[in-house]
Amino acid sequence: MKRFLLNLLLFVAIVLSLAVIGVLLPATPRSSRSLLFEKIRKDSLLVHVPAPRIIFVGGSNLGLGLNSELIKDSLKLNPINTAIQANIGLIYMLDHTVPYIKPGDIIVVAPEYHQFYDAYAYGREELLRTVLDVSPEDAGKLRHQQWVSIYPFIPKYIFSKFKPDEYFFFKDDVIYSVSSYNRFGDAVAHWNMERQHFDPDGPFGKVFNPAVVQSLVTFRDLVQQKGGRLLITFPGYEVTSFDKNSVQVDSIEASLKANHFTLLGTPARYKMPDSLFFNTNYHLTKQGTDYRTKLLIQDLRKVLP
Amino acid sequence: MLFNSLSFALFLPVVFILYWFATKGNLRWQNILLLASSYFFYGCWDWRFMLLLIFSTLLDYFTGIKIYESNTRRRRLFWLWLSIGINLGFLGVFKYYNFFAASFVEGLNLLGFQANISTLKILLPVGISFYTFHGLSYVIDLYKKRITPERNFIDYSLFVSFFPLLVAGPIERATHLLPQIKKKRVFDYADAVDGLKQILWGLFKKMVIADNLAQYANTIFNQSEGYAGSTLLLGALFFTIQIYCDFSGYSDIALGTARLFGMDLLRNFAFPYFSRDIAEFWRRWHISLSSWFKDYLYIPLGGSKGGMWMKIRNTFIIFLVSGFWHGANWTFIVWGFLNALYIMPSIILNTNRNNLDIVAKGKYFPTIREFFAMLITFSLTTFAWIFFRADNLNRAFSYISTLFSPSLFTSPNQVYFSEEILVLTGLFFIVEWFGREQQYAIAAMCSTWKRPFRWAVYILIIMTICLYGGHDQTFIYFQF
Repeated sequence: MKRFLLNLLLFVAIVLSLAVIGVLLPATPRSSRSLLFEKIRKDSLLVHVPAPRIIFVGGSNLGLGLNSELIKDSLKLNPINTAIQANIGLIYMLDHTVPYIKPGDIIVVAPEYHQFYDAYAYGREELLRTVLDVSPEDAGKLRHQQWVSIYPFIPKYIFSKFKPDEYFFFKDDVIYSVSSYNRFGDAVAHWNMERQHFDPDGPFGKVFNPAVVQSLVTFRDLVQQKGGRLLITFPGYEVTSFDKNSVQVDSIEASLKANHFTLLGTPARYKMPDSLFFNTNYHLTKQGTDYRTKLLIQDLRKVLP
Repeated sequence: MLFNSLSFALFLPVVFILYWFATKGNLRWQNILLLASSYFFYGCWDWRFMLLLIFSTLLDYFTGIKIYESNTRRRRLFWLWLSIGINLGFLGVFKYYNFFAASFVEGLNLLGFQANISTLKILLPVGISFYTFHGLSYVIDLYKKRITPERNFIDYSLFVSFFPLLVAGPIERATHLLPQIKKKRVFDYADAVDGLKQILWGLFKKMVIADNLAQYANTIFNQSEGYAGSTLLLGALFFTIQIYCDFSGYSDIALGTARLFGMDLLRNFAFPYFSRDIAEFWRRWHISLSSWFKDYLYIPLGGSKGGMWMKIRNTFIIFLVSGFWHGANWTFIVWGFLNALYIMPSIILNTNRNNLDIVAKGKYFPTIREFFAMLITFSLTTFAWIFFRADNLNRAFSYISTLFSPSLFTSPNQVYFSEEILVLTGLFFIVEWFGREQQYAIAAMCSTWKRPFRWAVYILIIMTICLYGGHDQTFIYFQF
C-alpha cells in the first residue's frame, strides 16, 4: 500500500507540475490571434471614443450582426460595439462595461436568448480564456457562480498550452480572429463570404435563470448612477430556431417587461429568415446585418430624444 | 454522481483512503463503509430513489430467507413469486406503465374505440433495471438451491448496492460477488495499479470518443430529414461507436473502481466489434446481461433441449425481452427482433459456437475471410443500432429509407466533424485491435517499458482526456 500511495503521489505531482507550468505559460501564439484578444482594442475604444456615445453590449449576435457605420450616419452618435462571444457570459459583459460608462452614454444590451437559461450567462471556456489570457486583472472580479461555471474548462485550458499546433503551422481564423473587426468593433471579415451550412437550434435551456434579469436590473441602476441610459434590444434570431423556442422567448420578454426595462422592438420583430444568417442561428450575413441595424435604428429613433 | 465528474474524482479517493486506512482491515467496517458510500453515491441522484432501493433490498433479503426455510415446494414457490412479482411490479410501474397505457390507447383507437388513459409523470429511478436483476438472480438461485441465503443484512445490501455496479451493472451474481464480500480483502499493488489503468481507459473511451461522437450522432439523428444517405450512414456509424465507448467505458470504470477495493466484477465487454458472427457478438456485448437472460430465461424456458423449434422460439423470446428491458419503446423491441433474426442462420445451421476464440489470436492482422466476416457483423449491428437510437419507429424507418436512397452515393452534407476526434477514433480502434487479447485494450500496453516511458503514455492519455473530453455527460445506459 505504501508503495502504491507513494507512486500515485509522485504521478499526481508530475501531472500537477505540468498543470502549473501550463498556467504560468503565456497565451499561445494561436490563442493571441483569436477574437478574444480583440477585447483589448474594444476596451481602448471604451476609454477613448468621445461623446455622444452609444455602446453595444452582447455576444456574437452583435459582433456578427451590427453595422455601426449605419448607426453613426443615421443617429449621429459614436458607436462602440463591445461584442465578442456569447460564451463569455452576459454577467461578465455587464460587469466589465460598468467602469467605462460616462455621463450621457447610451448602453444597448442585446443578450442572446440562451443567456437567460441555465448557467449560460455565467460564461464558459471563452470566459476562462478571457480572464487568464487577455485580462488577468479580471480574474479576481469574477463571481462565485462564474467560477463554478468555468472551472471544468481549466484542465483543457492548461493542457492546450502543450499542443504543438498552438505554436506552429496554425492559420488565423478568418471569421473569428483579432483582425476580423472594423474600427467600431463590428466583425466584418465574413461580409463578402458565402453563407455556410448550419442546423437550427433545438429547444434551448431547461431552467429560466431569474438571476440574469436581476443582474440587468442592477446594471440599469449602475448605468443610471453614472448618468447613462440603458436600453435592451433583441438578437436577430433565425426563424426556424425562433419558432422552436417561442415559449422561452416569450417568457424572457415578459420578464423584461415586468422589470420595466426600455425595450427596443419585440423579439418577433427581430425574427429573421434563414437566408439572412451566415453560419449560426445568431450570426448575420452582411445583408442580414444591415437589415437588423435598420430595424434597430428605427427602434432607437422612437426612444431617443 | 457520474463517474466522469469532479464530484466522483473527489468521492473515490476519500472512500479509498477510509476503506484501507480508517477501517484497519476490519471486514465488517469495510463493508459498512462501502454500503454507506454506495447509498451516498446513489442518493446524490435523488434521495427518494433510495427508498425504493432499500425496499427492494429488504424484500429480496427476507423472501430469500423464507424461500430457504420453507419446507414445501408450494411455500417456496409462493415466496419466489412474491419477490418476482413485486420486483417486476415496480419495474413495470416505473419503467413501463406509460408505454403500456399509451400502446393500449393506440390499439383501441386503431380498432375505432375512443379511449383515454392518462399517463403519469414518473421519474425512472436510476439503475432500477440493474438492481432488480441482481435481486431476481439471488432469489432464483436460492429457489434452485444453488446458494444459501445471506443472513448478514449489511453484506447482502452491499451485494445489491455496491456503488461501482449500482447504476449500470455489470449485473452480478450472488455466487460471484457475495463470497468476495464475505472474504477478508488484502490490498494488492498490481491489482490496484491495473484498476487505475482500466479507469483511465474507460474515461478515455467515454469522454474523448463517446461524448464527442455523441454530438455528431445527435446532430444527424435529430435532423435526419435534411441529410443525404451518406451523412446518415456516418450518423449510424458514429452512434455505433458512441454506444460501445459509452457503455464499455462505463464498465471499465466500474471494474477498475471495484479492483481498487479488492473486488473483481464480472466482465461486461470483450471487444464485440471484432466479432465474426452475431452469436460471437452477443457473447462479447453486455456479457453480464446476455448470460443473465441465458441462465434465468432461456434455460428455464427449455433452452435448446426441445428441438429446433423450441430453440428458435426461445431465442426470439430472449432477444425480444432483452430489447424490452432496454426501454419502453417499440424501437428497442424491433432492435431485439432484428438481432434475433440475425442470429437465426447460425442457430438453424448450428454454427453459433463456431467462433469461440479470439479473432486472429497471436497475429497482427486477420485473414481476408475473418476481415469480411467482421465487416458484415459490424454492418448488421450498425443497422440494428439505428432502431435503438431512433426516437420512434417512424423516424427509424424514415432514416433507413433515406439511408438506402441514391443519396447514399453522394458526398455527405456539411456537418461539423473535428478532424482530431476522427483521428483519435481511428487510433482508438487500432489500440483496441492490438489489445483484444487482454481484459481491456491497454492492460498490457507498454507494460514492459521503463517507468518514465510508461508514465508518459498515461500522462498523454490524461492530457487527451482534458483537451478533448466532454463534461459530465451522462451515460446512455443510466436511462435503462
